[in-house]
Amino acid sequence: MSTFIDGAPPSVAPDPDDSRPEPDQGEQTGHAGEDRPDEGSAWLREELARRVATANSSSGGRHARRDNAAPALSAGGPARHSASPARPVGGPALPVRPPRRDRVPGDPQGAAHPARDDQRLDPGGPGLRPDPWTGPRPARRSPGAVPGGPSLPTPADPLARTPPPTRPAQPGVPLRPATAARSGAGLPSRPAPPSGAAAARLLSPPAEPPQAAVSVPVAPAPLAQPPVAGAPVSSPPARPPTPPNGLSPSGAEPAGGAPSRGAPSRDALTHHTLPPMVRRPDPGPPTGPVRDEPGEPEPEDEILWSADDLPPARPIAPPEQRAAEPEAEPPHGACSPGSDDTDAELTVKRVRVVLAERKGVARPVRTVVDIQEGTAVGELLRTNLIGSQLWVAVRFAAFAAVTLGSLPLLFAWFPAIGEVDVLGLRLPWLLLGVLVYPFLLGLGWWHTRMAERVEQNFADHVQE
Amino acid sequence: MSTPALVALVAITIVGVVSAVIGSFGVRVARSTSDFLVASRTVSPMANASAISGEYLSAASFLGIAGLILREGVDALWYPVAFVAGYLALVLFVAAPLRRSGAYTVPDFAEARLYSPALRRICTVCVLIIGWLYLLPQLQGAGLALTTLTALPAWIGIAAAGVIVLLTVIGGGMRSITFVQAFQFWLKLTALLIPALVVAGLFLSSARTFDRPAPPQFPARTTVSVRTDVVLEVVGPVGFDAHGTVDGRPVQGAVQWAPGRHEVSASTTLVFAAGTPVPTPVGTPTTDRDWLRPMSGDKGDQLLEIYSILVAGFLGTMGLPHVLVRFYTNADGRAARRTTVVVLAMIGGVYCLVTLLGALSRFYSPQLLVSGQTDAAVLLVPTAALGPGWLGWLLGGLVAAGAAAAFLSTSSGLVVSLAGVLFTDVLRGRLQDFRLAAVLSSVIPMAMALSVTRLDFSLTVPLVFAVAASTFCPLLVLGIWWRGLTAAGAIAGVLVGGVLSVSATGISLFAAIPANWVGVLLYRPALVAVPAAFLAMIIGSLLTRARIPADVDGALLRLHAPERLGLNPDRIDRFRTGDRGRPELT
Repeated sequence: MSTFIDGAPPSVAPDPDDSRPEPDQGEQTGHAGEDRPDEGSAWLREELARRVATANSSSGGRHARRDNAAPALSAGGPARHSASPARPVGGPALPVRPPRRDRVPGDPQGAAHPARDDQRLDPGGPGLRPDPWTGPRPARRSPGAVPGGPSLPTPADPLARTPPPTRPAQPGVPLRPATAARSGAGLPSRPAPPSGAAAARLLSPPAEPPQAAVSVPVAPAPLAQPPVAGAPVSSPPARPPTPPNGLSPSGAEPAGGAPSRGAPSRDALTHHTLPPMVRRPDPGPPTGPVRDEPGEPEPEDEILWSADDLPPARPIAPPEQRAAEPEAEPPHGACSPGSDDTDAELTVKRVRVVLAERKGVARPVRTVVDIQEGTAVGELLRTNLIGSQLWVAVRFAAFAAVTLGSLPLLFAWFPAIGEVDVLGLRLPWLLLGVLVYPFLLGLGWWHTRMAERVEQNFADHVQE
Repeated sequence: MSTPALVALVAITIVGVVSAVIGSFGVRVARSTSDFLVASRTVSPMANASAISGEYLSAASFLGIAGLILREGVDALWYPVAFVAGYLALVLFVAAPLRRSGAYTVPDFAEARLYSPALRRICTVCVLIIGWLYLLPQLQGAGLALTTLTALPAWIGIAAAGVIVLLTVIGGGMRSITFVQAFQFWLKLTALLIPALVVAGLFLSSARTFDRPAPPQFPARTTVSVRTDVVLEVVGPVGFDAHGTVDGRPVQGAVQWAPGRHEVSASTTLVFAAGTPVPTPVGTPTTDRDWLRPMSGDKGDQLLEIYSILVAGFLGTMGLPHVLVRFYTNADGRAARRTTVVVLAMIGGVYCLVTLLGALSRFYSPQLLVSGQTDAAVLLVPTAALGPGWLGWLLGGLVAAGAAAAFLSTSSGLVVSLAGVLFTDVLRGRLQDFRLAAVLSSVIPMAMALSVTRLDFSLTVPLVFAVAASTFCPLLVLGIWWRGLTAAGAIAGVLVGGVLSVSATGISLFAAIPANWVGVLLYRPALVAVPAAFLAMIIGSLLTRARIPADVDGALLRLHAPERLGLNPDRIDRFRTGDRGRPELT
């Protein structure tokens, strides 16, 4: 789901924030997009940096997983939503990574973060954009040489992610599941990851439930998380490029499935990188976590729960969302090795996606699009909503008007009413001075309930 | 200056200072244009409801309604009923969609919905007319309160209120205004609740009743200064001492009035002994028993008046700029609805207390019937009921503080909304311009208030509601619910409603009015102007059907779709200066 979400916003265009990053997809654009968003640009950047760093650190492992995941995604995606959309999503996502990697070289901090992102991204995206991206990826990742930086981040990432569990878990989850399965064999070698994975799992659980409710992502998440932890550790920056080799993370195992796809050179790279990665993880974790936790956790939480902006963005970019959905499915299709690049891209987008998921907007996409684009279904839903609300409002207004409007006539036609004492007060005084206020309050309260129910039904209907 | 006057002056001063201090705290929080204009939309329903109630319960309405009840009895209760019912109409038709429109002002809404710069300009003019018309009685009310309580000249009250309001608004914009107005609401509630309970307890323990076929009596020897010409009516022989002009003849000494009508000219002083029956203004119930009964006047005209009041209040509330702008500060449409419901409870409770105090004032301060200054009823009841003594003075000071809070909150709310419109539509600039806009929107009504003779609140307030009801109500209701509305139709409707209601306002303020149904409709134009505006808007739209905005379906969807579908972008984001003020005010 998360991946879908990420992908969706870019394509959607409606939301300024979402659209910005995705359209730019180019390396530079990715960064720019992050900065651009008025809302939470700061947190977005941080998040991206974290993920990039993690990705770099565990790139090797993730790549292996990615390969698996990618196939899965392609298979699952179509079934649930539309296959075609999924690919587009991956495409946009990919561009994001490149920029980050570039950045990494330039900025020390950025480098570390990029590594993380790649790792996370890989798990989710692989299935969709495997082939095309794999080629370029190696180069990108290599710059990411950041490996050293990445390695440290990876351990930290899990921890850092934990605070905002829902987001991290969701984004990474889809891709991760596949990776987990694959990595299962290969990962073992990586000791550091386990701890991270465990943390991620603990954290992830909360996040997953929402995802599950929303869409596929949930299931994958649990599986994916373990892999993620391992992936970061195993394949830092160096491997990311060798996504196809994704096998590399696991070393021997990955080779079985993904190796074929990945270029030999990549594999070699991954292997080399892996060792360093493993070593680094231990020291790295502390440093990485420290960075992420302080700044990111809070922003993320706030954004996720409170961010109103994000939800709107998703609906706007329905097509993108659809694309994202396929990606989310990957967990199922984990078997087929995807391209690493897609994963990286996915990771970048994931941040946004997660937000959307929480609100549960992800599913509604198609219907929301219907409504926005004025299709017959959308037209029907809209007129139905407005008609029901108007009908409710008019009924209440008519009741209030008739009740209040008849009183002057009653007082005029039956002066005796003015002589009646009730509760020690003259009836007109009691009616107009006291009882009318609870009456109006009750009508207002009742109407609010009715109107909210109508909206609830509409939203539920649209989102089903 | 007497002790009660000093107590009242101190109380008013404290309110002004506290308001300014609270407002200045808001300055530290207000960082962006969004903060200034709509408090970044982070105001919780409870705080927002307090602020809305605070600014809606203007001194003009709560003093004016008590005065009307003192004079006219149960028939005056239609005013508060209409004012409260206005919020029911708001929650039914406008609250949530208006918030979801993401627009910040009515002109902004009009443009967002109909894409017409011309309509936007017309709406801007309407907002300014309504706002300035409504600020006028608010500021004059401050002068009245100061004069009544402390005998200081009225212009001091007007100038002081204007300056305090300006400082509060310039200081922190909408965010700090929200705090200030929430504080002022609770102050007003306290200022009415405690005196009402105390005085009602006194009244019940005295075993007196209103159900008697005689006019009210002066509770003690009373000196009444008549400041404007009045025509009084007595049902039995009345004797008093007079200094000035009575019935067209200069009088110095005792006067005996036979049953019938009598004129008293301005600058006359009347001295009544305790127990003397109180002469009542012509056209109002003379005996307490009549006063208790509904429909005490001419039935045809009175029915017309009551329905016109109901229409103006029911539909006019949604057109008041300072009320509307408050809805833009809600977090979402759902919060906007809930806010309105809380407002219904809050102002309903306050108007109950106002009704009680107004009725009791017939016992304790009937001399206001003679002087015509019935708007001062609430201010005088506590001291009149409790007699000279610190308890009475303190309660009087409390009521004075509540009145001051009422002037300040409504005025500052109006100034903020007017400044917002000037800022976004006329001046088009940066933050400095907002402050300039605030100065403009308060200085002009201050000048008017200083130069125009004060009129009864019961006249000016309903006129403002009528103007609002016949301009913005059709625009909002049809704009939100009818996809067939066109810019041309909307302009036609706003112009028809505006011209009808404003010209009626002008005539009734500056010309003699016939005492028949025509006069009633001039005083209370809503019953004609509102349907006319609706009709004009509908017909105009049907005639220009081809020009229905292409995006109308999307626009309507944005107004009605729940936020969780993410279809409701905020137009205010255009003004974002970069910072993203997340959660601050709750």
